[in-house]
Amino acid sequence: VRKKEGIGFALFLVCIVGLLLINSFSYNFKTRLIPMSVGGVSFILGLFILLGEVFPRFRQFFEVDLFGRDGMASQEAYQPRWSEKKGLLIAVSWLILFALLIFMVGFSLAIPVCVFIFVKFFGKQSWLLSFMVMAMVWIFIYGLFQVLMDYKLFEGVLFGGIL
Amino acid sequence: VPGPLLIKENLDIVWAIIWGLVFSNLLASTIGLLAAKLLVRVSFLEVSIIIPVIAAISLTGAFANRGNIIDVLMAVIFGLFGYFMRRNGFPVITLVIGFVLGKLAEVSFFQSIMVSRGDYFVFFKRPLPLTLFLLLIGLLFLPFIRKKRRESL
Repeated sequence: VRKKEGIGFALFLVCIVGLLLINSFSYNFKTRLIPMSVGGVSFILGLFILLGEVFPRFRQFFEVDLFGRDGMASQEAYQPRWSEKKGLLIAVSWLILFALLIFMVGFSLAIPVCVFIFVKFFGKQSWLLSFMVMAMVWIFIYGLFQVLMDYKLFEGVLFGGIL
Repeated sequence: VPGPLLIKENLDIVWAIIWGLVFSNLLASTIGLLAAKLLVRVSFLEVSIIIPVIAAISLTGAFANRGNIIDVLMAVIFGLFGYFMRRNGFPVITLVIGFVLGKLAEVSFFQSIMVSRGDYFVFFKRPLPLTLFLLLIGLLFLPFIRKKRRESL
């Protein structure tokens, strides 16, 4: 499963860089100089990574201590507590729901709802603590942006927010 | 009134900006020092409380930067992208450095081209950029050379 994810992510990177590289052909010569040179190198390196993911023996050649210390090892070994499929799925869904709610009903409503959902149902905290965190975050953001800085936060497309 | 005669014609504004910067730095340092003991307690909070707070502030900040709701979507996409990068062993810092230095590098590149009157080989003709370029190439291959040497020992 891990290997498949590695291949998938490397393939995704190669595709994204490839698409950007192809897109840069539509620019004029001077404008496409930097995107093409940076994108070209990134594309080749992405291909190396992809090859390394598919053929582990090829990868061994590139496994070097780039910074003269074991700097990369900590990144490789990074395993967050929510790396389990279920936890990751919930966290990603929550984040997408948050963005979607901001878009639909604006910051003033989306923030308390999403903060409360996360703290109460995902974090399994008490009702009192969940309400307190929700209220504090809302007061902080609303007070700082709307009241103190007089900055109008997005109201949501349902409440007349203009894109 | 920004312009080449700003200091000559509006010295009071310049001084106001300078003193404003001085006082804001002093104020920020004082608050930072006084609140340090309280702020350090944040690290003892549970992850389930920190995550929604940071997410809410980050997404609000993403919107407030340009007042564009699409930036919120971009923040979510890049947040997920960063997570998967870390999960698959890619250092996130290199991407951030690329984003920060990318524009600067592009502007400087075209400035150099303009100064050299359209000569694209200007980076290899002067001793300093040529030395830096060769050092960069050398640094790229250094880990491989070191690995080979370590293996041969």
